[in-house]
Amino acid sequence: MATTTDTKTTSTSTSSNASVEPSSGGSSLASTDGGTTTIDRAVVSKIASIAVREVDGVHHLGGAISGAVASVVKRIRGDEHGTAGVGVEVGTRQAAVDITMVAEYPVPLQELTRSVRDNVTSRIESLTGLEVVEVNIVVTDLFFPGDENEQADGTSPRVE
Amino acid sequence: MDDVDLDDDVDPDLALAWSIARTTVSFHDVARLSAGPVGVHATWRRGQRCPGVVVDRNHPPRVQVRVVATRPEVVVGLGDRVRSRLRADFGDRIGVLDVHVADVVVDPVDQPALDGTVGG
Repeated sequence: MATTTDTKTTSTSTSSNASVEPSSGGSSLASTDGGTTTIDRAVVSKIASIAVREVDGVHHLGGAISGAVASVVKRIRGDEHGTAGVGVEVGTRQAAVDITMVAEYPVPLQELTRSVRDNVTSRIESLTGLEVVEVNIVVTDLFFPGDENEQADGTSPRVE
Repeated sequence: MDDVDLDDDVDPDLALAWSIARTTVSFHDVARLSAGPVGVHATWRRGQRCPGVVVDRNHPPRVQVRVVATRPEVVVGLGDRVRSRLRADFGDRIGVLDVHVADVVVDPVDQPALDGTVGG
């Protein structure tokens, strides 16, 4: 479980004025006289979560605190696919995604966020048929190699 | 899924819901049906319940089926495939048929990649 005493916050995000066509909790992909097909936001969230984790340089989803909580939940439930750090808004044909994540140091953040954005967009569009109009990414922290070791003993002296 | 003895006392809507449920879960891309977070998406008759299938006999008759996909790569087009299968089996008995993909199963141990490969 990784927690840091220093606050290392880097934020990069894109923001556009794109809006998602409103819907009531799901996305309507087909509407015919015979009926409609809708996809729940839980499905889109899981796909987005997996797509983010596929990118090298992403340490975990969510902020430092939510990452710690997710780590505990993962140990208890064995569930590695929680959607903490992923927010999704779905409409009739479109989706918007908000991602909060911790990046590994020293990955170039612009390249990392571009890769995450491309992968999330590609996965959601190919697997659900929804058009992704917006992917907002916030990098809340950097993970330094060795952080976990320092946390493991919890007694690292400040000076030798 | 609980089994129900479809004898003469069973409400016809509930019997239809159970038949639709059985056909739907036999579909290889459907892991199970979902009644939603609080279980309200179901057909209720005479104290019995068919979760995940809502039979509404208002006009026009409407049926909603809520499915959980077996894996992410089968989500696209799943609604159309389920609808085609149910149409073939039930015809006009089900009127308007709405399909809602409520969730997707992601195996936490042997994670399938989104391109369909396993592991790695």
